[in-house]
Amino acid sequence: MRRSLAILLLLACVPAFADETQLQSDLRREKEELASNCSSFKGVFGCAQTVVTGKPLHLSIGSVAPQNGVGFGPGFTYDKNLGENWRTNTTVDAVVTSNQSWRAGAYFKAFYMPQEKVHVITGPAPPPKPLSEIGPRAVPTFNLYLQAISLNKLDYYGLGANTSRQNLALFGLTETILGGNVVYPIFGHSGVSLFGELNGRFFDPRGRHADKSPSLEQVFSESAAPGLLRQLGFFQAGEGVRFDRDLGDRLTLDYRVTLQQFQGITDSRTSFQRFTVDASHEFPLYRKQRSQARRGTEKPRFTFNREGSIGLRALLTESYIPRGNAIPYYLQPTLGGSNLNGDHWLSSYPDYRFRAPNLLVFRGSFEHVIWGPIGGVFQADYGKVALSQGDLGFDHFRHSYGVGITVRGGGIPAVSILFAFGGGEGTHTIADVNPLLLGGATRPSLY
Amino acid sequence: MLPGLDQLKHVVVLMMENRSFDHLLGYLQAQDPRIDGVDGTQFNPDTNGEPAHVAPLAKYQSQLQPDPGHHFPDVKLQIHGDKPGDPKMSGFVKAYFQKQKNVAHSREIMYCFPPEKMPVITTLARKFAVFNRWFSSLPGPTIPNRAFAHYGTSFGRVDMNLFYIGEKYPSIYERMVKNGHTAKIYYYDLPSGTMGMTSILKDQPQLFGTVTQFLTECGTGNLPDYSFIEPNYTDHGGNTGELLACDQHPDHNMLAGEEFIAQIYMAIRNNDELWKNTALLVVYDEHGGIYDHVEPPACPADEFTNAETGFKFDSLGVRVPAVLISPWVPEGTVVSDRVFDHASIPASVTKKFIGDWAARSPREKNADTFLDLLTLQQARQDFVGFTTQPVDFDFDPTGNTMSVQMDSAPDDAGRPGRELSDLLKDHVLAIREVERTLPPNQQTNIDIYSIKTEAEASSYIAQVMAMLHPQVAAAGQ
Repeated sequence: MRRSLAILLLLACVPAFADETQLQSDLRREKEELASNCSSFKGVFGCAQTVVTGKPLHLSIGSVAPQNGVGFGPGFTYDKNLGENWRTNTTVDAVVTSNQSWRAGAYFKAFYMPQEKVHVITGPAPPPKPLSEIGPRAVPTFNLYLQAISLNKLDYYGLGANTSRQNLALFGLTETILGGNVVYPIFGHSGVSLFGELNGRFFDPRGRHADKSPSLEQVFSESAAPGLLRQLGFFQAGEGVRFDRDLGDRLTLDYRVTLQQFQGITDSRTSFQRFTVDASHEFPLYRKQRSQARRGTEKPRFTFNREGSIGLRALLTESYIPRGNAIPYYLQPTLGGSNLNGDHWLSSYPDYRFRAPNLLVFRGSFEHVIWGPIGGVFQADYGKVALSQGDLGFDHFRHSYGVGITVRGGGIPAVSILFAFGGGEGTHTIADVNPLLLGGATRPSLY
Repeated sequence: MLPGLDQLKHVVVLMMENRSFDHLLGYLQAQDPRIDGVDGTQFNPDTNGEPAHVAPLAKYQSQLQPDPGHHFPDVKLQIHGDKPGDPKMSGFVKAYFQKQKNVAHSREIMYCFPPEKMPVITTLARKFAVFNRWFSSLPGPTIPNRAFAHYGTSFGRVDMNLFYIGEKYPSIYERMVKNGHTAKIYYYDLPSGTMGMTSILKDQPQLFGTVTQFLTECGTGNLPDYSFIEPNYTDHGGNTGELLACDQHPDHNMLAGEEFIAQIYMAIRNNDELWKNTALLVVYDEHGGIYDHVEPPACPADEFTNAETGFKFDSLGVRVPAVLISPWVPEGTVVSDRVFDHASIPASVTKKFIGDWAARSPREKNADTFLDLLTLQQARQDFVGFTTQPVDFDFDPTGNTMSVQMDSAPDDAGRPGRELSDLLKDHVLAIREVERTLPPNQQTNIDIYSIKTEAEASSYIAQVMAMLHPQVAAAGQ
């Protein structure tokens, strides 16, 4: 026993004598930093910074899903570059919220920088034709992940566009996802990329009996909530095309077209396909600013300041369900408040308010600087869900409006506070950080 | 006034991240001895006392993980060594060892790039003006060094605090706007953000734009009078794949940075009108803990003293690469006899666009300005360009020259009075580059732009080759 203990101690000491690896060095320096910053009250800010943003270990903070609070827990992240082409990031974290919901996952991201040859062209005069565009561009990205999430409180009002708030029932859900995806840019600087994913998804829904509202199974039957409290597994594949491009400084396009196949593993009658088109358009608004001319004869010079933007976005989801099959309710997209992935649509409505296999929603937005870093924003959503594709039309749209202020950083709204109203089912105040600012691991969609 | 300076309407500064002069440009010395670089003899002792020599073995990424130390105490060790009497600039390997206790790894801090691996910055350095004595403004990290580029001082700070609020002197952007001029910080995108936090909550939106906007405005010719460009500081996911950081901060991919420098340069170069009246400065904020052999000089103290370290800002930081690009700059300019730092940026912009401006730090007032390097009487007509796509040209990567592919011999082939072909013009330009590596007394002093015929070109090439290979020339005679 003593001998085993001695061997173990010896093994633990090996790194102290051998050359440090990168990970050992990261851990040592983080420990030193914590000791230095957290030893006195003076260093409280630095200490908090190290605890939250430190690498490789840190405190992970984040919302898991609407209604389930913000989670806190340990996190680990590690960057490693391999050779001259591959860059990798590994993140492992686990958070638990105040209502005992939790999420734990391991995420591995790798991206590949092709070593393009830079041609140097010199001559006594410019070449007869312009050289093709040069500059950084998106590179192929590969994600692998294993994530389990347990959500203790999710709202369910039934399926379709005409459900009543009075029918609110609650359920809980545990989902485990194992899979990966690839985003592969093509055609140089075109902004076009191909998307592919392969996932195994395993669902374990449950009732929730801790609130005034009834539990799902107390109100709804299997036909009104397909997959009711049944453990189901899916093999899910997806293919898509993405297009993201600035057309000069006048229009930014962000299009995503995806086709997903959900193949029921445990019950083939739950198989279906989903087609999604998400098209965003942003029109920046500029104001001309004149520069003082240097000489009397010189023409005045102008530059342009971005004062705001107009946004138009359309989201269409259609599901193709073989006869006799039904999509489990938790795999059906929702409108109202925020959805399972935290996206806001018809924000004034309660979270998860409308749920169906198909949906169509439009958003118009206008944001403009008011004074200094403060801007104003107006947003209007019109949309509906539908049990069948034939019901997706341009009538009977639900609507929601939002007004608010933005705090602009670097001339672009970074933080917004939006008061959403107009749907006839109450209001929501939403504080949001521009999603572009939120980094972290690439987490898979929950549905 | 110099005609180039007189016609100058736009100054553009692109500030990259954390690379030393020797690391990026040092091995250019073999091509041009006037460039104060390295020749392989420079070394630092490692923690075992063994010499670690500079070597042209730097890679685009993976050698500088973890990030080399470049905060005030790290740089002090790098410059002064770890004990009294150590030679200057001898503590880089030891400093890097403190980051990761791995002797072999720590020696890689001495690695430099062979010029052919960094064709964009090295070509621009040789085709325009390279500074032998451009130093970071203080021996410390990114933010206070960038503050010198924005304010001409860091107000006594050597730390990474991003917020400069209510400071004594206005930034160069505020000065410009107050004087009826236009000025903008163009940052890469929102996830990358801006380190121009100095003004982030004021004077919006006229002080900020994105690089996409900059590229568009280069096309339309609507650049502000002064533009400061920030590269992408982070690897982050875009909708169509990962956008790699292109700031060249260790251990970001250097090739992405090369392409970014080329993109900014080409955006200006592709607009003939803009090209003629714009000066582009590509400069690095600090050395990033990477080896350089030139000891930073002393400088007149600032009026601010750092309370924690007692540093009076009376010495500069480690030398960084800086290249000034304009058609009014003579090809192959090497600026050796003057000292610059980032305070030279607001000083130069102020001098050009505003004139006298009293409310400036002592460091900025004492900083040399660089726009007087636009010395040519006529704008250059030659072309330097970059592309990653195959072109209809043969390319010689070592000579940075273009040769036009000729399908068949023209009718007047073989006549010495024939005008120069593009191929021969480029060959002459290439020979001129080689000639520059010769001692001044062995150079022909022939103006290559006066060469009009094949015979004159042959004569010029022969003279240079005779200097390069005298034995061969003698045997031939």
